[in-house]
Amino acid sequence: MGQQSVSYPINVKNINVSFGSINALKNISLCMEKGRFYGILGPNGSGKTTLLKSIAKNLKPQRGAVFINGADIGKMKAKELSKELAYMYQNTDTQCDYSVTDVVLMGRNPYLRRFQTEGSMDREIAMKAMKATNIWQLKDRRINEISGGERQRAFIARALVQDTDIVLLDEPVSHLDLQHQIEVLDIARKMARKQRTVVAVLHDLNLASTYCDCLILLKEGAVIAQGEPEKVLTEEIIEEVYGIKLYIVRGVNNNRPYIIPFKK
Amino acid sequence: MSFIDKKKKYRLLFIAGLLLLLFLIVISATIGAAHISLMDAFRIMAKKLPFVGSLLGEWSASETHELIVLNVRLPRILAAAVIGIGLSVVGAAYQSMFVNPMADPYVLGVSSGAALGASIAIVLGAERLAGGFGLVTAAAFIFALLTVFIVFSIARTGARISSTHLLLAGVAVSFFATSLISVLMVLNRDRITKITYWMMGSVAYITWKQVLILIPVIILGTVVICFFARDLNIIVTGEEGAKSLGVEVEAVKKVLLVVCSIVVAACVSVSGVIGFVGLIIPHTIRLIAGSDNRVVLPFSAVGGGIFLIICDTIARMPTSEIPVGVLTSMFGAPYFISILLRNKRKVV
Repeated sequence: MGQQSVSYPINVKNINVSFGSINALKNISLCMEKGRFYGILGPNGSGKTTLLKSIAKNLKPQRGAVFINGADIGKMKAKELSKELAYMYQNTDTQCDYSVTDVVLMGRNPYLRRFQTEGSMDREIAMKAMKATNIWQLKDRRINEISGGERQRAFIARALVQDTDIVLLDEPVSHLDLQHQIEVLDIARKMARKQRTVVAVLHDLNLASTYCDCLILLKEGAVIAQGEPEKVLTEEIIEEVYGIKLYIVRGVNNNRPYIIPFKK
Repeated sequence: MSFIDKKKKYRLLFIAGLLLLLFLIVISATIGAAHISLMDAFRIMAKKLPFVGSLLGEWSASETHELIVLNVRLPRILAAAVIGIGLSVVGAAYQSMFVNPMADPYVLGVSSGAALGASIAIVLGAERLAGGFGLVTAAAFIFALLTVFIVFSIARTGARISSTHLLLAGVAVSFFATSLISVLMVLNRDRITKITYWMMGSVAYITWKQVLILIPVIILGTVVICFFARDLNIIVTGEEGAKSLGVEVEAVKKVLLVVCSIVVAACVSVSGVIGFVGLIIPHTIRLIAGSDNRVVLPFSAVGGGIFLIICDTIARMPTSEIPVGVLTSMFGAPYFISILLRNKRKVV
């Protein structure tokens, strides 16, 4: 019904990205809906990060276009885009010595005029995000002096503070211990429940299966499967994409598939 | 502590710094062969200011003192102040933009380009003044901008300017210009002293006309650079994410590169190569106050002005003058090493 007029929060249309002679993304088209948590999966080098970067306008596809709420991001100003979409990138290593609070507050930049300083409302929002990501006790520490996992949570807090309808997270749990992995993914799922669109690149298939509403599985720059975890995480598909043998346990884990890989 | 918690403190400190800078301008005007009291120096300068002048009432200093302060010392002091401001704020901006602590105002080849221009003018014997600016200065300015333009063109790929390419192109073009200067020097041995002196950097022969152009160019440039403090902060935490935080990375970089280049070209073309200011002042500020550009940029500006006035005052004290460009490194380096040893924190 009226499919033509619906504008998805994220609409990727036939994008191609190549680095020299390597085709990183081959004619990818995707639609992502409001209120859902998407997981992008795939082996190393399958194009997960490239896809996320293309959506964040960090990379310009050679062909095709990305639309955010119906608008072509190629024609959007950074300021407009930053009010619609937050992006946490993979490598949060930094040499600068800003306080954690100052880094988190950078997420308010889209809403500030050039000479404006962050006000009490911005600080309130930052405090909430820092408490949610469990870094409030680090607020006065320097960003280059905290651990990788803590820094990752600070950058997630910065993305939260941006208060956008779309949140892109590139491996948000890669440096985190088990407790914080769960915490961060809980936050991501909660955001999705608040009618946002959350997209995360993940490596752990079981966490993805547990938390995501929808999975997108990439291999060599192409989408191999997408849909609900039950549909995507099957023996045949995973064997084909990752080249491993595995069992899939069903009936536990909220009835989501649970994968146990084993050596051949 | 975040920036907002300390904003008031920083504002007061900044005003204090500005006052110190003004105070040093007056003090410096009392120093030299002729003895002029602090009060006299202050009055001579204040008399020239609008509004303030009439408040002073009837009072006159000796005419020679007035001439010495206004025509001999003041242009040079003001030039030292603004050149210090310009070099140091550009150094701070470049270090953040290139995320490279070694970046200084000359990193894109401006100084070598200017030196080449100046050398050509000196070799051609064009040292006379042209309307108070000097043909050497004009040649240096044109060559400085030309060099940066060449460096930009080499480093540019489409709309993007890669920082690494810029730095490498800057180094390469810089070496090329320096080699041409050497050739000029070898072929014109009688001019070697003059060229060498020019390259050592000095504000001794500055004219009022030059100062009156330098001041607006550098102050305006500094203000524009400070506008971008928050964008630079975001770029330092990761260029990848800057765009989705609302920063037009490429546009910001381009504006800053153009403004910085003009500021540095203006400085270097009148004063020659004054080194080290653009490196140590920003780093000193960072070691004290952290690397937030909302602090580093304005305080580098004031600090650079103060530092260069002090160096230049020392430079003109002995009977045979030492170029200020030599003193900045001579005093700056040990001082910087000492704070570095005391405070070994990572700096960008």
